[in-house]
Amino acid sequence: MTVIVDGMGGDHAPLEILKGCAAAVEELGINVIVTGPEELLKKTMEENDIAPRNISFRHTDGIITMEDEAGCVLKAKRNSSMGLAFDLLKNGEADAMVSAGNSGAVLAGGTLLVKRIPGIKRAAFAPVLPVNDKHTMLIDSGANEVCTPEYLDQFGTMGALYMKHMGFCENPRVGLLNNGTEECKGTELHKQAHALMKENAAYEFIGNVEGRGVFDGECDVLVADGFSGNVLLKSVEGTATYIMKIMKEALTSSLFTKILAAMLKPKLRVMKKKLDYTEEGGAVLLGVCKPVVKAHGSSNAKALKNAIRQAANLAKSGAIDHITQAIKETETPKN
Amino acid sequence: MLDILTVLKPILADIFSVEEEEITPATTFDEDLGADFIDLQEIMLVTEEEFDVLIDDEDLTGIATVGDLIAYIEGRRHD
Repeated sequence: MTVIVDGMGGDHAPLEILKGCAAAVEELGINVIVTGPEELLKKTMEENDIAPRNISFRHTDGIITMEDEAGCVLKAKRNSSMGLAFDLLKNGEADAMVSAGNSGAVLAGGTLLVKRIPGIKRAAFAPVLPVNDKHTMLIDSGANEVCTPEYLDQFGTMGALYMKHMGFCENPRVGLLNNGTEECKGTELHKQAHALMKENAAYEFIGNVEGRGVFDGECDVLVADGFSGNVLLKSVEGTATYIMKIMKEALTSSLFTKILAAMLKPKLRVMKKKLDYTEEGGAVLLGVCKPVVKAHGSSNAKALKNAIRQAANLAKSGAIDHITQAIKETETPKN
Repeated sequence: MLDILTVLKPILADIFSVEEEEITPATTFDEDLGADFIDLQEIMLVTEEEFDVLIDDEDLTGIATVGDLIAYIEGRRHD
């Protein structure tokens, strides 16, 4: 198993990226190819005592910044660390790819260089969120601000097959993010998507789900247009950070609460872990022909390692083949 | 111009999931076909490959209709 990693993508590249790669190699027993300026990458590893075992480099000087236009990965910055990573994945030199870089560029490169699965209208970012002791996938979390009912229906199919074949649950329940649970709720997009999803036999559709229902575990796959999904995801991240902040303030406000905090430490550690985004890896770009994972832009080594694990697991799972087959079966043959 | 349109029709029909008859020089990418960023980038890549021309990223914003794209391809071919 070989995973290719964009060595210069993310706010903490290349150091945290390289540390994450080394941790992944150690923990998962895989090979990693890192793209970027080879001299800089090797120097960073040497200066920080990062073991180079099973890590190789593919040199390129170009870098895509967070401010760059998304389309630059296709032409103007094709020779960047991200562009090269896409080309290597496309050419079969690796089984999966991870980047913590520019999200728009990851979407453009994944969709148009690695290519969409035939029949898939749009690829979508799909992070898996920890909910109680289970998981819920949010699809789309920001790739497509404007969606059609058909996109949302396909997101349901892709999400359900991913959750099943990645071993999260046997019969995923798919819900549609909306402002009410009744069938008549939402915009025209939501009503039309609801009608399509209700008729789709490829997954179990449970109807509309409100934002507050997500963390009650009402569904295993939450389908959303990219705009609403992104607002939800960032609200959840912000809320988790806020909860940890007020808990810390409350537990360190007096000697008594500090003693209480010490007693509660093991439980608090579990709670912190459940709220920590770095535990879950990144967002899969679902709908493209090969495994591509977008790690959080501010990924540290642990987040990057978990994103690599996620990408390797996706490559092993066969989920993309199952999605390809399911979409093929729903395609109407053209005359 | 017609030859380019003949080649473009099935390509655009496939990208936008519409019938080839719906693609005319007057067809607008934005309003008629509902093109988004990904569609425009895909059109650029496919056009470059099919017609062996280079499209500047900045020029994409000036291509509003299928006719504009045809004229652009013709212009580039003669450069």
